Amino acid sequence: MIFLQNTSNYDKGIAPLKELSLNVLDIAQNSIRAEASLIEISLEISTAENLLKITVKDNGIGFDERIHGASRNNNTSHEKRNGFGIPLFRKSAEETGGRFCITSQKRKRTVVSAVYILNHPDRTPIGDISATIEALILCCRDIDFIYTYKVDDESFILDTARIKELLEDIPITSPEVMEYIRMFLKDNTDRINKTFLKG
Amino acid sequence: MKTLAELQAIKEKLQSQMDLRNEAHASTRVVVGMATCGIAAGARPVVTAFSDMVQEHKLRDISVTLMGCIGLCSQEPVVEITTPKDGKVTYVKMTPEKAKRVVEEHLINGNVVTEYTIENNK
Repeated sequence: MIFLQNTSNYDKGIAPLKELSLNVLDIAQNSIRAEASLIEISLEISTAENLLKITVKDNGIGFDERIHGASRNNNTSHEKRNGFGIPLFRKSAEETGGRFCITSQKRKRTVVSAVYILNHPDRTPIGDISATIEALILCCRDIDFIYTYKVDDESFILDTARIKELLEDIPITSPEVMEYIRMFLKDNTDRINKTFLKG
Repeated sequence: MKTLAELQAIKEKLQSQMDLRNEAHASTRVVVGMATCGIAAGARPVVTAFSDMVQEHKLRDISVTLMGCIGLCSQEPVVEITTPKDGKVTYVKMTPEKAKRVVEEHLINGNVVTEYTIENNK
């Protein structure tokens, strides 16, 4: 049984992360610890709705929502410094009047979803989401990632399982493959952002 | 734009190369602290720097992975490097510039960068 403290620790001055892409990297660590073999990360912008939606979904061991609650506000570790990933991510969304949701099914999946008012002055910048994805792919060669980046009607997907299938016995972390992945992320992100910034 | 054909070509080139060692048995391990304390302190740019060096120097016999908080939050970003020659070395307060120097001097040339180790940064 996790002992939940009475007051919200993130109000005591735990500094927020400077980019939402760093929150994504942080939340993905939970999925890794939950022994996920597939982590799906999506970042979607809808200019018509003025919304930014970030989702991290994994097929790890999950947690029992009835015991731990789907909306924890406090840090989840007995040690003061740890377990702030979810509260920090939640705060980043709620500060902009957005929504935050974490649901889980034990032994099946966990889905963390944050929605932001896109042009809210307090909305933390997204930052370098491609760097987050590349770091995860490099450091977690045995985990599959499906990454979706979408702005209005333009999107691209990076599916590492498909890449590994093509590579056969060549490791996805080979220098030449990592170089390819870095360029793939950059080219597609730039392409979509150019269209987005134009209009 | 990157195509699947390019990826296919990369695969064929690597498969044809001799002495392609499986990184699961990598002799050198680079483990970067990636708990919230590490991320807040700048761990991701450090990983990016290691990735830059892996790509630039075509380093194959190295595995880069993550670890949680090891209780050195004020010394983050922390990187533990294990090589057959020197065993485990813990580097603290890492930056992308320090990471590049560690790859060149420690990983490539075999000389621990003692300036950056935990013993010399207390």
